[in-house]
Amino acid sequence: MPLALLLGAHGLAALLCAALASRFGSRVFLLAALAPAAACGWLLAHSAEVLAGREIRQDLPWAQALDLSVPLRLDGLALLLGLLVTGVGAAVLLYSYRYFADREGGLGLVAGVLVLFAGAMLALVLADHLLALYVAWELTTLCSFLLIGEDGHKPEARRAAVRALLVTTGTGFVMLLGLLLLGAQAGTYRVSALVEQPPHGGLTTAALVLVLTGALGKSAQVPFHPWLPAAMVAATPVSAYLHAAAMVKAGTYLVARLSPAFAEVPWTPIVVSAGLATMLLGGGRALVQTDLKRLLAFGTVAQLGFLMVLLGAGTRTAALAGATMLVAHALFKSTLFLVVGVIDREAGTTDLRELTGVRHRAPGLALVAVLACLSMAGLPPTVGYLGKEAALEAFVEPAPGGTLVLAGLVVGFVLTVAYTLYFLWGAFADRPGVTERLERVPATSLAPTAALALGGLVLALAPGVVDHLAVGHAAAYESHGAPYHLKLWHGLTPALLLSLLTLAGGTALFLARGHVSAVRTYSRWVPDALATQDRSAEAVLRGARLLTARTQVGSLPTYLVVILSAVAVVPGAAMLAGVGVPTDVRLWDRPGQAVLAGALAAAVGGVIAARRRLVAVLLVSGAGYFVAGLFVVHGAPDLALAQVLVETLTLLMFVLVVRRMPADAAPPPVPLRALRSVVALLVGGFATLATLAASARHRPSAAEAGYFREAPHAGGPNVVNVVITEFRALDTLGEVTVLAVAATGVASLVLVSSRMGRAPRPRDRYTDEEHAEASR
Amino acid sequence: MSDKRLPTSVPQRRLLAAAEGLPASHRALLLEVLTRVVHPSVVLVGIYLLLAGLHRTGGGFAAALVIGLGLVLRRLAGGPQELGAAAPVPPGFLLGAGLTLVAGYAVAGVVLADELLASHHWSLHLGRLGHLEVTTSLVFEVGVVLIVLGLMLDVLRTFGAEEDTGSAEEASTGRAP
Repeated sequence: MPLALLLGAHGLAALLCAALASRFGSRVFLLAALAPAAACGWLLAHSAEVLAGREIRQDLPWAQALDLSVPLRLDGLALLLGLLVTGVGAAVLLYSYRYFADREGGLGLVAGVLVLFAGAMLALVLADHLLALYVAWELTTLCSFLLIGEDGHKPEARRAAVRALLVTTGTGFVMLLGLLLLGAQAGTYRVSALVEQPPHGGLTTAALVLVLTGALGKSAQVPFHPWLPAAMVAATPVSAYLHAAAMVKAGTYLVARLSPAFAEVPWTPIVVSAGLATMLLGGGRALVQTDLKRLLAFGTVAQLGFLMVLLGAGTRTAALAGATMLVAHALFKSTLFLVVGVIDREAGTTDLRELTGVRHRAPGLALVAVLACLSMAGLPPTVGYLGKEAALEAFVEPAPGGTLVLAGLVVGFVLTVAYTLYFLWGAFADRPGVTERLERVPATSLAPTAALALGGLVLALAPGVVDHLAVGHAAAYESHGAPYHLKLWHGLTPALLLSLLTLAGGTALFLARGHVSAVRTYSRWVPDALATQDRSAEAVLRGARLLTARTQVGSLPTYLVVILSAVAVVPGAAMLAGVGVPTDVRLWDRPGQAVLAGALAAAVGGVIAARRRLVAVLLVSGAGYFVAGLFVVHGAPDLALAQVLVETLTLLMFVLVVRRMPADAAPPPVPLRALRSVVALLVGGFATLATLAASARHRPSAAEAGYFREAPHAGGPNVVNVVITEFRALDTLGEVTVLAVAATGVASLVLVSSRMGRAPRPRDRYTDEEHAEASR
Repeated sequence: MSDKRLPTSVPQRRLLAAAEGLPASHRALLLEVLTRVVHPSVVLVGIYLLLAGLHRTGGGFAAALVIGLGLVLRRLAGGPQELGAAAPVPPGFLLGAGLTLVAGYAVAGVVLADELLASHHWSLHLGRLGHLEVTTSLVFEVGVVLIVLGLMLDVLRTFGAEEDTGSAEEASTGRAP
């Protein structure tokens, strides 16, 4: 039960937060933090067991008749991600207590959705079923949408939220197709079984490409990346948690999860090339931002690309480096976001051109930022350094893409070092002529921030711990030669020399960043992903509008013609083909039928000839009553009763409407009249054919005898009603539901004001004005 | 004593309470009298159809239509406010209550008899009074009645909306005059 309990605790905490926020204000975040903190503690307590190779599994039975359950599994990779999700989650929620202290309303939504997100993310990494994984995946997307858009008052936030939603659910849907295809190919939806015995073949390749699309979209890889920087309009804790530490890792997690099974063509080339491109693009863009949050966002894009390269490369050392970098990135990037959040909250801006003197006013904050930046640039003694060394080593060793990828990584690191320096300079440099805005930094903001940064340092000083965690994932690959382990000092290796090269290059690039901006102005030929996304979204909307304008012409007769011709032609043709025209037709059984049918035909003829609307309506009703008469003659009193009542109701409704219309109906132009006549004849022909075919069957159905036999025992001898309320009660249930929905829909469309309001009631006296109003 | 009682013998209630709000040109005495006389019987017939459904012609659908037609009669004779007096419940409430009843009946079957929409019926011999059959599916039928009534009320209110003096202001804000 434990794994499911962890997830349930998050759901419960989310509900509690939503309910209690109005009473306790931002203190609900402290309550919210309990769920991920407890989960983190539980995971830590069981980490030794999991890392020793004993996975913890649990099946949540769901619909057993359909053989559906939600299997959960805690293995090395899930443990790593789970610790990150819950640990960073707890820290961010604690931090939110201070960040949202002045916020008036809407805290229930933010706190509730944040905890819900933590739970969904945990479910995502624990899920051992492709479809359960997909559900959790989309749940995180939904949380992200709600948290970016928040209360929906800011247009910018709405746009960003919709952009993130469209890109991530769009690619997520593609992924769903891939997952279904993959599950069908493998014959199982269990991820563990799938990875053990991966399917092969053309369809599998297609499935993998589809799955990768989803992973790349979720993790903001080129060309899907623009949603992530746009999402920075969200509150800083949201950016730190969803858009740096957790949600965007979902794509890299999926790649890491499936790479051991599919690390070959086309998986590895796609992942590695998209990752490298993203790393270079993100790093380059980060260098030209003036907003600290956007700078960090492009840095995240770049780091996610880096993670993709490592986790998708399919070698043991690369996987080890990837797992290490997962830890490192979650720690240092959320720290930096929280630092920017403190600056934002206390100084009121994140624009680096408006900041000055921050390091004098908040030396503690500066220290924390430097610590995190050491990790980001890959300097010792930090987890970032361990990961960077391992990453370089992974591609110094023989690896797919080899030297080319290594060169790309080196350039990427140069950019990383440069934008790290740029961030520090932007946040903490003194700018003459700019007024100081920051007063002081409260300890409640600083403590969770510092805890995350120190985590990166402490873990590096005990590299064995991280190594143990990371090997939990890397063990999925075979090692060639002596397995690589994380250490602070490996000796004078090529990796170390390359690392030094990147530091020098990065510093030089930072100093020469003015020229970088100049270079960027020449790169206009590169297709702009943002504009392309906007254009395609607009094209879809334009197409939809065009389609609507063409099909929804707003003319009731046109709709009727379309609907009725469809009814007549499609089932009519099927019936003609299947049943044919019944030949054995008796004209009537009793003379009464002939009389009624003659009257019916006369009424219908009258409707066609009538010019006055009211006369036509009365004649239509007359036809209906004659049909009821036919039912009586046939011996179906229930049917006749219903027919008479409905006919009366229809007539009265018609009268209510028709009296407001002109008395005479203008005849339509001749071509239209001809068309309508053809359609009317077709429908009439179809109805005749259907009636003849139905009444030509004289053999009672198998169910019929049973109905008559059982009806007295099930309530009463009136078999018609027993069928409605007993034998086919489910049909009735469906029908009345449709009725209720249709009534609600029609009334809501027609009535502008609320239809739940009270009906007008009579009063004792009426004024003359009301008389006048009523007569209008 | 009798002198004092005299003023109260003037009818306190008019035939149809709301019809007085209508302009004279919209009133028809015969229709008002007929409606006043017939409407209670119409409701009774509707209830009879509901109860008799399993044995004779009738059933929930027919019952609802009969009761609904009674409402239409009130609406035609006394205007929208008369409809409000006859059926003061919002149609949405009727639809919701009906759906709840029907769905609740279906689920109750699962809980009590492990079968969706399960029903039970009792035959009671009441000695001199005769023989009575009670079926749980009557609950289902009542739900159907409420839904159909809600639908009819919705339609009636919708078609009568423009004459709806009570909410004329709200209606005019969203529509061109």
